[in-house]
Amino acid sequence: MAKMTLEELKKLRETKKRELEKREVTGKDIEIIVGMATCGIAAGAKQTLSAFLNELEAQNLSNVVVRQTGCMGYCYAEPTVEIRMPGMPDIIYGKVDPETAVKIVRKHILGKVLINDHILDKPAADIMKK
Amino acid sequence: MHYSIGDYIQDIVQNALEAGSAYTTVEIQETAGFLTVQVNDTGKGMSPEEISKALDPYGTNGSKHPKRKVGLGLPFLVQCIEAVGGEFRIQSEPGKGTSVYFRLPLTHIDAPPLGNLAETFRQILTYPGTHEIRMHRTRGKDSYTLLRSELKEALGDLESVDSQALLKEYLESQENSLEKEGVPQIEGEKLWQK
Repeated sequence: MAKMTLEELKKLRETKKRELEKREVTGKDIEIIVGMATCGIAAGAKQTLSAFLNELEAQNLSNVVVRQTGCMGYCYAEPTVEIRMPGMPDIIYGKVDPETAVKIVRKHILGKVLINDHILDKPAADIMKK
Repeated sequence: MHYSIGDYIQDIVQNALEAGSAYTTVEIQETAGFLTVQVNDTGKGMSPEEISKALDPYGTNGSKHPKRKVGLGLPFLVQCIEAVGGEFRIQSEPGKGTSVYFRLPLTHIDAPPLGNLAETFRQILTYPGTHEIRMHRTRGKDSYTLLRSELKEALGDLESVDSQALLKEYLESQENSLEKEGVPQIEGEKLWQK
């Protein structure tokens, strides 16, 4: 692969954008937030973040935003990942290794089923709303 | 301890961003078996007392996690550099910013692997915020420069999966364009035989 220029990157984006317009995308409504502080990095959060991006790309999911954040305070359960999406409660998963990241994309995001073994926290506000 | 050198670099840059740095520069130089890294930020900076706390694994300013008694980011790096006989320096001034410098011999048996630098750079560049980051990577005679604002402009955003996928492609092409012979690649097995 030759060294890409910024112009080529822009062109590539335009091509991809046109491809995307053909697909039906309803805004960026799914958020994945990965804890990336010292504790997260030491526990392998970088590999987890890569695994999310690779799997989301493989599944052709474009309505997803992937963000990093600092320490969420659950160092013992790193890597930690928060998922927010319509139709599912906001949830924080713990001990998310790359395999679990793939599981989260396939089961939680696509299948709308919780991954019970990795649930760490479920914000009380969600329970109250119901 | 962290697994790769990329992990240490990412941790230091994250410190800079959490210190409110609007402009951060990351210089990574790989020459003849040595790696030199310098991260300069324009964050809130530290007093000499705060620096010594930051270097103490059992020290923390308590602002992020009031009940916590440890802070391991910089101590991990110092431990790693000491183990391989490298150099570590930190300079900081309250209100102005912080500079972290380290240099290590890549051929030392205890030197961590570089890791996937393209992936490390992608994660550094996509950390959320409106800050600017300038990264300059050199290997032997070759080099490339990355400017967060330019990449954001080219990609539209740095958060969506599509942008991050294109960014990966771009960064891998930069990394792959570097000369391969710049640094001796010593395999563990060969070292054992010596």
